[in-house]
Amino acid sequence: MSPDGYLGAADRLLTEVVAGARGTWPRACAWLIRLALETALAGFWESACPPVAQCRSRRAQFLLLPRYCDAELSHRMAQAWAILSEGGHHHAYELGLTAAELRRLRNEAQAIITGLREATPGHPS
Amino acid sequence: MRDEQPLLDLVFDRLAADGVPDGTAALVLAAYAGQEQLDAALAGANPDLPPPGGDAGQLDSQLYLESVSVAGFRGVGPQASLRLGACPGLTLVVGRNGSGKSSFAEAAEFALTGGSARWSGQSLFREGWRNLHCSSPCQIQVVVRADGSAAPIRITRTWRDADTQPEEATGSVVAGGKRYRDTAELGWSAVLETYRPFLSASDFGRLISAAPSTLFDALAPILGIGPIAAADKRLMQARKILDDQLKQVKAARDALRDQLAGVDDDRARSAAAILAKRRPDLDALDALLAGASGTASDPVAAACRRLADAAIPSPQEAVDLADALDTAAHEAAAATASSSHAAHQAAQMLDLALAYHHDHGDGPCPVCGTGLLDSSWRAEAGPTLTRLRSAATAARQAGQRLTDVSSAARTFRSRSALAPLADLDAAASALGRSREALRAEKANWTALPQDATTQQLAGQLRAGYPRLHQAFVQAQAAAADWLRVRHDAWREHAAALQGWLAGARQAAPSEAALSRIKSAREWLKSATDEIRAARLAPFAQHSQQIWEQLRQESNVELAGMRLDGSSTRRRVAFPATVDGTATQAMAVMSEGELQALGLAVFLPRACADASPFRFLIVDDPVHSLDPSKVDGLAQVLADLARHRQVVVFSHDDRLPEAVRRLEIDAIIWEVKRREGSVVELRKNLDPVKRYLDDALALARTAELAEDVRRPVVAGFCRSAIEAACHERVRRDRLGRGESHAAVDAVIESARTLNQTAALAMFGDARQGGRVMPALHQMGRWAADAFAACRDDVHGGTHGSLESLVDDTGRLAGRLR
Repeated sequence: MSPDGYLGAADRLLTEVVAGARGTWPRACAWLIRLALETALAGFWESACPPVAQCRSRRAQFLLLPRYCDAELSHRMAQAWAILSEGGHHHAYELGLTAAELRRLRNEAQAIITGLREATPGHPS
Repeated sequence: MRDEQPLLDLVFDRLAADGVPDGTAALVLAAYAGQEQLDAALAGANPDLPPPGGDAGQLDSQLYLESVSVAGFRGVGPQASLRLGACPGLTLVVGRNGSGKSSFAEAAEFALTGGSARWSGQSLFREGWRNLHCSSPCQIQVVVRADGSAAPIRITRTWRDADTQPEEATGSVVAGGKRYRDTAELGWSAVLETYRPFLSASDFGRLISAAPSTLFDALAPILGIGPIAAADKRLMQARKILDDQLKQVKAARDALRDQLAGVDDDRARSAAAILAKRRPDLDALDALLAGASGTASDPVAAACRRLADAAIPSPQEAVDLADALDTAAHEAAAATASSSHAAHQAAQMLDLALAYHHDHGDGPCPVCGTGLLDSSWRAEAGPTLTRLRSAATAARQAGQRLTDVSSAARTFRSRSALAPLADLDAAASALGRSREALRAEKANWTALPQDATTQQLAGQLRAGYPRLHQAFVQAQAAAADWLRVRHDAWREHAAALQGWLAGARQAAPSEAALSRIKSAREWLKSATDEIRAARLAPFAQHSQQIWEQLRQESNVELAGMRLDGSSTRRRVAFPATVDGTATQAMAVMSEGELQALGLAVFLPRACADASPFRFLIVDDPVHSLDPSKVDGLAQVLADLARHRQVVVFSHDDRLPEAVRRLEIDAIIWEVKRREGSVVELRKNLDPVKRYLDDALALARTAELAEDVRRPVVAGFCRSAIEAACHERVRRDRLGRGESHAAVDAVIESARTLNQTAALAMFGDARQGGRVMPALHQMGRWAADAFAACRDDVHGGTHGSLESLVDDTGRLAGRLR
């Protein structure tokens, strides 16, 4: 699925009551947005440096990112990803993300994905 | 330090711009200058006004915390030190509850301010200030460094074993080679109060939700408009004094009017009429009291006075006159009886006969014809003629005298009857019965007809006049009595009026002064509002910005912050909208939101440009914040830390976790406490370590081709070495007293890694040539690692990546 596909799915969870997702939708939504980011990142690496795309270490991918694109963008990417990873997991003493937080993250993800696309080598811009 | 226009200049300019009248402007400036000047200005003198541009100087050094050492205090037993490096940046001090981390925050606050917000009013804290396990030595020491000064300021508080209260500490401050008792002697009290670089979570909520004036008072000083407020206060006091004075005059006036209303006196009525006016004519009152128009205005009094002053002939005079009248009448009667007319005719005839004898000589008498006119007749006729003539003259004289005396008696009658008696009717109210008696006598007196005989006239003079005179004297006495009573009655009121007049004259200029004060205050109020709004704007904006970051997804949207009102109605307003609906922020906020608002309000205060304190200690800011707000807070702190030394104490791991996750540059100290209050501090994260961690993580990602990883690993290693060098350069140079700006410039100027290393190792970026030899001396590993970091970013070198990270760590340790 494409990044936009994941974001679309996340949108549905945010706006509609999806059967069977009651109570779990915030975490599911966080996962979907994170998947959108990861898919976009994988796409970026396929074009920018294919060996990195194969690497399973997400941290290595993020550590390498500033070398291949704008430092600010990679910082935002790492931040959003970190927050979504937190939100996607259950934590003993913390509540999950709220709808408003998720919406902000979703918009942030959208912006990052667009930024990555523009930073991809060979992108017509 | 304030880059704003000095306050006094601002006031001058605004006074000029608003076209304030000179009198009012002088009053505003005098009130600004001080009480003496205001008094002088109100007294009409020309006070010494401060020249424009003469604002009181602030502390102009920039202060950073170098270290906080604690021994035997609160949770810390044997001495433990927190080293903070005296430069901008974010430091987190993390420890579990009871690990002793807050002891450092409290110690810093206590050392600097001599108190602690947490302690005030809480006896529990007061009892536990001394460490249980290791109560001696008991000392806290804070080393503060003023930017650009080589010698640090050491602030110490030591307790003797016998001390039981925290306030009993012996303070010592060593600054600039001099010793002081505490920071107050350095003049820090006011700025510490104003900018308060100590923030604690529990305070925020408390202050935010406290009485509106409390929050107002906490924020107002940062605006630096205290002198204007003080001026207003002086004007207010001056106004009160004048107001009281005028009120007193008015109250006295009302009381006098009441008193005068009961006085039957024309002067009292005049005075009451003068006093009844809104602005009594003081000169008219003065004239009234002076008596210039005193009696003329009262016909009764005037008549009485004329009556009393009048002199009428004494009864003796009347008797003498009556006697003279009798004598004259008697003589006249006698003259008539001796037929003076015949004598007169005989004399005439004799006179003619003598003339006939003289002309014709001796001859017979032509009248009788028998007698003879001759010389013997002539000799006899001469004396006869003389006798006849004198008899005629005496008779004429007696008649004349009677006429004269009668006329005098008539004159006397009318004289004693007319003038003073004319006032009888006018003075009727004063004379009472004596007037009736006098009137009766007067009627008797005038009843005598015009053609009365001399005898009647003399009789009236003799018998009637004494009665008239007596009645008159009685009336005079009555008039005099009345006048005296009137005078006595008036004298008391006159004295009261005189006293009031003096007070009123004194207070007269007050009225003008009061209206000047009123217009001065009016102007000052509008000016204060505007200046305050202008000065608050940057703070409000900063608050807004922090709130935006902290609120994350809170549906409360702040629309600025305002300081409203003055004196007892002062408050801080936070207009807000909740999902677009306007409200007051405080009413709708949850505890966590209030805490966030507290941070948003107080962080800008502590970071005000005008504050000499470039450090900021925040205790437990994440207390009741949502996870997303913790992220926001981490961002806020990171932003502040670019220009401030931000030290945050936190009991849970959320903030350090957010700092790590969000890749924020920070130093994290972990506080651990063993048994017996042995507190250890361990550096958990710093920039060097973070770069090395990243480098190591990438170095270990074996599944990725090495040529992809190598330049990035080398880049991280290079960053680690740079960070270590920068740390060293900062420590050395700041310690020597160079300013932060200068140190930053030097670091900025070292462009290559070689130059940076030379700067760290030899203090001079141009000594790059000495770097490699020195590293070789350290060991081949050092030189190789350095070279790999230097070159690998650009080209390839061989060697294991993990060993490169390892060696870089060692090298960084040596360099820093």
